[in-house]
Amino acid sequence: METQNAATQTIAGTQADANATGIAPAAEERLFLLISIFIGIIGGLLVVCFRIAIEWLSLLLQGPAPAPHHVRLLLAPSIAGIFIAIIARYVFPMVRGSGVNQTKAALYIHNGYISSRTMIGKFLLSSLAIGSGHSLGPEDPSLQIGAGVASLIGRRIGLSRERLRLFAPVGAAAGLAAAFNAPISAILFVIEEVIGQWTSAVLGSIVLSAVSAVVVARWFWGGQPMFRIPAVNLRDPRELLAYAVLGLVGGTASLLFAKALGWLRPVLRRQPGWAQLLQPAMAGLLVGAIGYFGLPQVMGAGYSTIDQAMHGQFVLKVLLLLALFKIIATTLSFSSGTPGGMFAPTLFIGAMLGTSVGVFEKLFFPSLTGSLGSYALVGMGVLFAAFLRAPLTSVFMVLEVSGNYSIILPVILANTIAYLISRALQPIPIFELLTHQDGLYLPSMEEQRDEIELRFEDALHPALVPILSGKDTLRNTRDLLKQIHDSEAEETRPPYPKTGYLVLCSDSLWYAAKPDEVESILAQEGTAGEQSLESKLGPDRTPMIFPDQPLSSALPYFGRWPMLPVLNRAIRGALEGVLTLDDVLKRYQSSMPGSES
Amino acid sequence: MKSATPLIPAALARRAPGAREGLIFLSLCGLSIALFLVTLALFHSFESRREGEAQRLIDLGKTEMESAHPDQAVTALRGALTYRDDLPTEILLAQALAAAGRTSEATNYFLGLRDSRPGDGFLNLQLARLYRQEHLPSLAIESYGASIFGDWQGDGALRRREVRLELSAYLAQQGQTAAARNELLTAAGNAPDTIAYALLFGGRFLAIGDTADALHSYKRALDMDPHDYDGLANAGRASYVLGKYADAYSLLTAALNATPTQRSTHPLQKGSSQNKNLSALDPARERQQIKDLAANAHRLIELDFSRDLPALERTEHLLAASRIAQARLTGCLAPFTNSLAGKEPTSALNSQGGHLQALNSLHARWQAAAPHLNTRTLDRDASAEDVIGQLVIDTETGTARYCGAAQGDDALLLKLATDSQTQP
Repeated sequence: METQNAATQTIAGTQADANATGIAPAAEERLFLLISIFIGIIGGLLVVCFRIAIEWLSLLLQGPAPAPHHVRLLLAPSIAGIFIAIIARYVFPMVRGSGVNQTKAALYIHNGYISSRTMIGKFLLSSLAIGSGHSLGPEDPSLQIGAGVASLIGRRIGLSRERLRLFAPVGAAAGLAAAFNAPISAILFVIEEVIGQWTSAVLGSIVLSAVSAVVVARWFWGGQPMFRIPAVNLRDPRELLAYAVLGLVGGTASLLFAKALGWLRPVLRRQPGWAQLLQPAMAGLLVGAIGYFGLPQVMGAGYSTIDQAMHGQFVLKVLLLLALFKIIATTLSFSSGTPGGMFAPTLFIGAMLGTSVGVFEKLFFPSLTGSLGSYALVGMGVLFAAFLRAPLTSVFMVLEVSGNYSIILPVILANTIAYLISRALQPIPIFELLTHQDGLYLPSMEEQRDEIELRFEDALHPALVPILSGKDTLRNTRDLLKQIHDSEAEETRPPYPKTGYLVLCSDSLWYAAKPDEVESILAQEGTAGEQSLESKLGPDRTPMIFPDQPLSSALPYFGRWPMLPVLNRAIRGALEGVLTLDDVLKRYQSSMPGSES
Repeated sequence: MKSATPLIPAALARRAPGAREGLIFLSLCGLSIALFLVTLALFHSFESRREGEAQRLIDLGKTEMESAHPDQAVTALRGALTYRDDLPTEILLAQALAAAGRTSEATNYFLGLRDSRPGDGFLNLQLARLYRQEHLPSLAIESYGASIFGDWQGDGALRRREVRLELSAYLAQQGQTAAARNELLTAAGNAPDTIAYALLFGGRFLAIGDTADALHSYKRALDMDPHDYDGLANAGRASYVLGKYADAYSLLTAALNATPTQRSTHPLQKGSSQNKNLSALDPARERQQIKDLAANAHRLIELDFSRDLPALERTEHLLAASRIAQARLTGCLAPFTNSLAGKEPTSALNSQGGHLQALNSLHARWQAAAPHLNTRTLDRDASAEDVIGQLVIDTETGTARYCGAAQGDDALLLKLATDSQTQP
């Protein structure tokens, strides 16, 4: 309800703004790229502040060296949970969730609008949640903060609604790139998961903003990633079997994680309001208990633990325990409504599972096994692909972070296996599942990727209409048409469809004439009988369309033309077939699932 | 919701589009700069706090290590790494892990460090030591090799020498004596020409049983200082072991006349076994040991009947040795003769067993050689000298086997017998 009211007001407000400032479209074009850079810079600075806030709070609340049996591990997340619940309910109502779906909702429902209040609330409450020890990550909120910056700037300078909508992913890419310190992965994730497709116009802006944000972030934090990457190598081709096993393990784990979230979150959301106020605190207490009784590594984002796992600091049993309890802790934290992201926990679980497979392989096949860091890295990619359902991003993330192309084969193999398992057993991706639970219906990027784009060749049919020569005189044309009509009357041949006529003009282009158009020209024969047909038709020609083009691109032309000749790309003027509006509609209808073909 | 306040006034937007764009640009620049300054201030404040925390934890980790609390050190240093991720802190943590007995974690940590710095001598050395603890000799030796040829900060030559010495000791421990010797030879060849090093290497060669190279090192020390007490004493010992009794006597006698040297502790000599014998004994006992050894050497010179001696001297020494050996044999046979009084030795042999047969065989050989046991015969007949000499050797060897350890002159003759068997 709050979302719908905000949306209605947003549209009205945005329209009013656009009318008031009225920036010309050409000026908007020029401004768009320039502003993208500023979005990247400002978004990057805010994400740096966000990370500083998280680490400050972590130092203050959890202490410099959290260890088991520290009481503050119990107190910090639970007390912070109370505070977060109250503030989120009464001051910042839109800050629940990771931030990815909220950004998509802004894009598809609210025309790219993200309020400043939401952005500020996300900043404050997510940093408090993660800093106090909730098992959540900073990347998703950074994505939303970046999108919020873009939305704010876009509104302030009075962009049109269309541009404002495009700015949200530009800002999202900036926020994610600064948080991840990986611009390519951020760009790909935004394209793969937020907007689902790209055009050259928006891609340039996304790239500029992501790069600007990373430059800013690296100015402060340096060029190194969030965790130190050890040398990665593929020692023996037979090692690919081990990575295949990792794919199986990762796929299973992602399924477990998704099922747990899918079950617990609606259960908690069905509770009465007063109970929901206590949920973040209870989740904090349980997460803190996991830390208190032996596994403080599962609290917070967990990057230092990922680093330790990559460097073989844990034995097999501990790795498996960390993976399992991180799933539990993240499920608790996220389902309780505590604002924060799932990127870091996903990477954490993947790193633990990957390293555990590596440790296992080292025990039994030491001569075949490469570095544990390779397994950890591939494990992170596996969970990213299987749980977040961003396979392309996961491959490039691993490559970008490791800087080593020798890892690409294991990554692709493991990711594919895990992704297929996840898709087969969990058809609805996690982000889509969460939006359904929130009562929203956003486009599914995965479904969009699976859609087969129809083309002209899927709908065209042979030309069954009379084909006339434009060079022919009107008299000859009339005689030809009379012959056709006579043969139809005598039933010596089947009648032509009454769609119209195709006229091949002398310039090798076509003219699709309506029946009454030709008849009215012929009725004027007299002194014009010797003139050519095409001279009476005029200079217009039907557009040149080819079989490989998208079917949807034909629709605008049917207002003018009764049918469209589909041409051969190799031979100018050669006809492949004909397309009518009816053909297009029937083809789209036949492609719907359950329809009769 | 109120409509958003435009950044650019609408009137200005309509009248001057170029100015509007300029104003947008300037506004965004101003906003970026302001935000940058705020972020910078926050960042510096945060970094100084992190740095302070990192230093506190590092100091705590070092204190815990010194207090033999490596587990607490590990916790503190892990915390320090989250605030200061640099190589010295990582190395400290890895060392703490090793000290805490968490060998596998320490190994993995050092392996990770070595991946980023494969040529680092220190890292390879730490790995070698960890592999030793994990009983992985091939990996340990490989890591030692990488350490020797790796990069070292400070005095690289000194560090590499130390590693070679450590490696040679390890190789000797693993029974790879030849490889250990090669390492010592390389290290000795690259070492500065000082008495301390010469003595050190002498001790190391002795430790692996290479007495010849040890003597060579000690003589190098004496070349630099002929009156060096340690050099004289150790060279004398080594000469004695090698059977060079004349040299041993002169060196040991010179050592008795020299003044023991008070050497400052050399880093290389920490834990070395070079001066084990000397340092383990108090000066009085040490001096007595040298005196006894010198006396033995002198007596061995008197007893020696090798072919290098002049003929007359050899004859005299052989006769003396014969008398000693026969007395030994007689004493060895006495218990059997007394218990079987009245019986012929041959019948005693039949009733007492195999070793008596051997002793009796020696007795028979002495009886057969008796006609040759005079100066005139031996002087003329070199082959008779050889027979007597061998008989002396066999007698001392046999009696030592059957009648207990030899003492006095018999022990010295036994040493001469051993020398003749081991040396060309």
